[in-house]
Amino acid sequence: MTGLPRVITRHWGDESVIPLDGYVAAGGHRGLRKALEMAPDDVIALVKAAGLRGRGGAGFPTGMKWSFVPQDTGKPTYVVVNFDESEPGTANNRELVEREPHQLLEGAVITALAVRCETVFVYCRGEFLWPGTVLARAIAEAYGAGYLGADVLGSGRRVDVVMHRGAGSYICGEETALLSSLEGFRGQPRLRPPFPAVEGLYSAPTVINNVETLCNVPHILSEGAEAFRATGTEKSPGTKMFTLSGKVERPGNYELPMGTPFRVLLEECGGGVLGGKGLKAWTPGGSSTPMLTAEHMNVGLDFESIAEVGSMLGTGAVMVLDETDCVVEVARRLTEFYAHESCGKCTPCREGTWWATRVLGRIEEGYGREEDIPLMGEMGRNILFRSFCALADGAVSPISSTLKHFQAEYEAHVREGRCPVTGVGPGKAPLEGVASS
Amino acid sequence: MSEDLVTLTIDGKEVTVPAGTLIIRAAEQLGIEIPRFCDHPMLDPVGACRQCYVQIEGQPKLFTSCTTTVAPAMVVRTQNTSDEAHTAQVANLEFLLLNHPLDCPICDRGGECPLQDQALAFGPGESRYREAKRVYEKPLHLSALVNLDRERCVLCARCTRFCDQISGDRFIELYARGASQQVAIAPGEDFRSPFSGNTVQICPVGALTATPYRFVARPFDLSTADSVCPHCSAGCNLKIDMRRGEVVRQLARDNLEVNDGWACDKGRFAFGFPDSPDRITTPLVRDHGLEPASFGEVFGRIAEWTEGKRVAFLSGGRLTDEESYALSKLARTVFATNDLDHRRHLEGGELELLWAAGLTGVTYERVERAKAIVLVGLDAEQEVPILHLRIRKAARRGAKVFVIHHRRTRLHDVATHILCRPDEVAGLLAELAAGTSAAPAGLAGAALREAGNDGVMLIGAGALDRPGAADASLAAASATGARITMVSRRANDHGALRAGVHPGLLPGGRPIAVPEDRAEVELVWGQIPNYRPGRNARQILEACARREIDVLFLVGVDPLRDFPDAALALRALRNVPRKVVQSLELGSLEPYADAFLPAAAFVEKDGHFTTWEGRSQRLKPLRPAPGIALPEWEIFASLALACGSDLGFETLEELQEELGGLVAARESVPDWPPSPAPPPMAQGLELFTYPLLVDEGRLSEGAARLKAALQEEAFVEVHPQDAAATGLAAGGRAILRTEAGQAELPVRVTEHIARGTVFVPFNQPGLAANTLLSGTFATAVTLEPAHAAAGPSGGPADAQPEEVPA
Amino acid sequence: MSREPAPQPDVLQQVGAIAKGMATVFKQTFRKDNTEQWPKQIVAPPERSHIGRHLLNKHENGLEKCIGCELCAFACPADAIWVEGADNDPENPTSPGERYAKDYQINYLRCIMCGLCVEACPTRALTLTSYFELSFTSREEAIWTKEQLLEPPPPLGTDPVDREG
Repeated sequence: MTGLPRVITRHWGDESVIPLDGYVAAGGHRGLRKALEMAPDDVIALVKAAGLRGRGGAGFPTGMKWSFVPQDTGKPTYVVVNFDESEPGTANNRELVEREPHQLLEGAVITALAVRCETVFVYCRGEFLWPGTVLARAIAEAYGAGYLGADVLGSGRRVDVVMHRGAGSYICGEETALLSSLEGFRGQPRLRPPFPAVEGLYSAPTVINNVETLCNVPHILSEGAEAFRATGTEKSPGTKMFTLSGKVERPGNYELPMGTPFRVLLEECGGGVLGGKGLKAWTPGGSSTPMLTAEHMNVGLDFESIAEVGSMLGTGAVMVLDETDCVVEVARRLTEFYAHESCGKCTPCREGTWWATRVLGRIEEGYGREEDIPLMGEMGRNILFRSFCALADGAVSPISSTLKHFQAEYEAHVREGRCPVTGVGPGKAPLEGVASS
Repeated sequence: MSEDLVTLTIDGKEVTVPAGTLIIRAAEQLGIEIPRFCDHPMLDPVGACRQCYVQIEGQPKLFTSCTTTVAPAMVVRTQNTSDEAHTAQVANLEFLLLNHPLDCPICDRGGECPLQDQALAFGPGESRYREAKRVYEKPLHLSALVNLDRERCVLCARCTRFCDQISGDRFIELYARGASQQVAIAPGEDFRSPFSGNTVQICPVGALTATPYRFVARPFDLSTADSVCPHCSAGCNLKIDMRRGEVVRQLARDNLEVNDGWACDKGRFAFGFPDSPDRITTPLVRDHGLEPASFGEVFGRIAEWTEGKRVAFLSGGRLTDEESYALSKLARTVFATNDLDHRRHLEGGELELLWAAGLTGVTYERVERAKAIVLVGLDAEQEVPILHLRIRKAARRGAKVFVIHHRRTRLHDVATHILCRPDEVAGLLAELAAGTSAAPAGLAGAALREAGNDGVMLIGAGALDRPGAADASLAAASATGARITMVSRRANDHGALRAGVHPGLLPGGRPIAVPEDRAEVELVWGQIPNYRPGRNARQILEACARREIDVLFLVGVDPLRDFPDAALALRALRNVPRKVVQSLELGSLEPYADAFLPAAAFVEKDGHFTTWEGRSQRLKPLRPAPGIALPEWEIFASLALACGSDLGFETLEELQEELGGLVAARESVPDWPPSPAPPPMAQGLELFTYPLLVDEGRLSEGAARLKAALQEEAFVEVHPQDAAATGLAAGGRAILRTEAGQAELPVRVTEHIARGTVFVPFNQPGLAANTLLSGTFATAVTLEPAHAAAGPSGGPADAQPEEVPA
Repeated sequence: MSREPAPQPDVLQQVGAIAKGMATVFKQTFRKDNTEQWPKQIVAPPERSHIGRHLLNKHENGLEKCIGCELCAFACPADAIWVEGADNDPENPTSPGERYAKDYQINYLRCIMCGLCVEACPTRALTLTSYFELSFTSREEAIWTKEQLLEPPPPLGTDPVDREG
């Protein structure tokens, strides 16, 4: 591999860190012990100084998020771990938990101490049967050893961790929908304001963090802010997990410093495009981030550099398409995912994604009309930033980015009545109305 | 509540509104209409339909005006001035219409549909959608009253939010997700909410429709007029739609001071009675049989019968204020009798006097803003449903609610219930007045005390039958500083009381026995010949039974059904020589009536109904009365003339002028003796009863779908321990025996009833509970399991002249 | 208001005008007669002329096209149409869909044959025919019921009422 520094995956491959004693033997829980000696506000200050940014997609500074939690509400404060990893192409949280569950728990407990919370909820994706089991075992172990419970390591501080398994809904990764689901209601996003930091779970102040974010916290505590800042870029310090998938030789999870060029990930980690074919397109942060192309091989993988070329770092899920892939099919299949996962609450997302799958499906199958291409563009504009939450904005990304980079391919579909790449389709001049069934 | 004001600009016009106002409301104040579907002023903002986008200067994205609150110096541009907002709205309508069927011509909403209107006003005009639309089975029957068409639904969630936030009975909920999201109900469950019709009214499309109105008319067929609901004392404001003079639909009319925008299903769907086939529209007089006659003839006969005779009047809750007043004046000045009453419960003592004098000062608004509310002997959902919604609204705003009753009510999710036996009410009220104990009654007292002027006590008329309850509640109110009022169920009980249809009270709550008060009335009426307080309803019936009364007038009342002693009512009707019935129809009085005077129904007359608060609301004549039926005040006035006297008014305006002067709110009331002690309670099981919302009452006759959806068969409800002690099992049948009669009913066992008490509904199919009663709505009872070979149900056969097998 | 005195036309001009008028009269007097001698002589109106009574059409499968939506009644400027809708029996429907016309009446004493009802009809259930032989002897007879309107018109000249006259 690359020989680049690894932080949160440093023990990967070593199964002894899965049980608690192995984790402690490998140096675990040093961060927690340090945090117990510090004042909560100092922990927050340290995380702020480290410049840790949320790894769930938006990249919001974590220390800042913690400091927003009001402390004088008379209500309890909650920490919620967002382990509902469901973005297509993303699989790093799962492996982080499977390979080192106590790292996450340590990070969660430190967070709880920092925001003076006594109850941590872990919202585990419903389909994560095994990771959930690993985590449940780890929680039980941690209670047994006094890392959790009424008196964490004899400090007199109480931290409980409760794991809740979701019922399998992408939208529950959205923080307010996650809270609704956790409370037992339909997993649909809620109005903001009030923001969760002020009125979240059960109307109490709530901090919601992603698994990868929390996995970084113990290391910031144990090794200090400077050590964390030593990797990555000025504005995006630290490392980032990248899930490389699609047409590559060696797909998998890779931890790389922020700002590492895409070329390094694709060629050095992933071994290049599968079968030595040409690169057509790639997503930098999961299916909801606009696709980039071969032009962007040297873009650094950090929040700012990716934003500069018109996309988002997101969850770091890099999906690679090669030159034999049909972008219309990719757009259709990704849009189908969003149409299926749309919660149905708001009109543009519910109806727009549904309509888009139908139009894209028609184009893909060779029944497209000339007016369909401007229609898709306009539909994307009508959905973008008009929906209740960001799901629909993400759903627009595959459509608008493929239209932006590959409009010619769409036009060829319509013109020739078949896919110019794969050759699938009935051919020229398809019958009107055939596809309206 | 003093609020900061915020000034902002919408479409170039400045408007100043309280901080926290939503942009969409601020725009309404300027008369700027922003299209919307999910937004409803009575429901929490949700931001689901995304139709109401506006542009806010300085913000990169558009904002939904239904979820964004105003900010100082904000500059808002709606679709009128912002192309971007307009484009977004057009696009959103296009999305909404993708899957909306084009069946407007057969949709009950067609012609009055917000989606249709907005598609016309703001829509894209032409569809770019080429694919097949979403298809569902339709219509889905949510209940006998409500149909759901999921294809038409725009998923605004108004209906589900209504059930969650307003009525609190979450029968319907959104189900599934994405494009398959739909409104749904649990399998096998019916939409049994008594407020279900509201969801139909607030549905912005034709997804929820009411079965009684299904395909009955189109909006352009209808003539619409404003009225007030005749069913209970809530006084809901209604819009009445008629097609060729026949009432085909009733809708709730917005009145924030009364019913917000809601009505219960009874008020909404029990509208058929004025057009009932049983209605009689000409006077009748009994020679050999009952035969049609002219008013003149009948008046002449009545004048003969009453000449120098002992006359008594019973009325109900259907008369307007004016008609009650005319009745009071007729009885006292023409027939020199004080034997008149509209009540069916016992005397309410000073509480009733305060209520009659309009001195209670409790209104819906007071209830809504109360910090503590105590209900005594009142099942608000069943008796005054809209008050129930107000109490829930208050609870949502943080009010502490307590219910002292024998049975749990539907406020159970927002209120603390203090279940007690009928004879324990007064004791609990004393505990409440002390407010020191840690028991719920003590907490209720403490909450009232803390709330001070913002504490409210609502005393159900049923509580007046419980020993000492009326006086104890008044004492509790003065001890805690709470405001107190009585809440009676029937539409115009309050108006009848204030107009003086009462043996001891003249109009305006003036005791006839108090010379100063009497003198105030005599200034208008002239000398009142007889000023000994008369008999109340019970005493009138007893006197009739003893043949001490010669002519009994029954005005819009049927004691056989209404009076809590069916046997006494029957004896009275048999023994009094002459009975004059004045009503819409004869019903069970047909064998007894000697004369019938046809009255106008509420849609046919002018006048006022008084709500439980004391608010007088105008009824307008919406159509001519059928046949030669007359408003009742005209009948009274003409009868007075026929008897050689004169009530002193010839027009309604003259009457109203007289009445207005006498019922104007007074400064204070004179001392009033404590209410007479009701009969002592036995130690054994105590039966109590009150009417449920949808019962066999006269005014719900013909509302078949309403009954199919909400009416329950008669049942008896007992506590598990009492059930065990008497050997009853849930689902079995029980024989109830009281002093007055016996009945056999299916048993319901529930913990939500006080131990030692037994509940039967007053008038459900299967049992007229007044056959079990002896003058009050509670009585001692014994229970035993019924065996297969048990005798016929019901009381003495002759006490139930109109009982029909279920 | 002041008014100019009308100029007096001279005599020659007046005689000319009379001659011109009379010329028109004479011309018409000797032209071929266009009057149709109905009912002795039945001349079929031009194809597709819609000048006569209404017809309620049916689908090929026998279901009525009318869905009882009342839009014809709404469009009618003379208030000549009465429709009452009702629920179709799903087992034995009268028309496709949920709603059908339980009652449908046109009052030909009111109808002005303007055809707005036909334009309003969303299902093409209501059309005007060329059957214009409408005469009645009572008010009741002038109100056509649904059954009558569903019947296609007979050939012109066969209405017994008309023949009697």
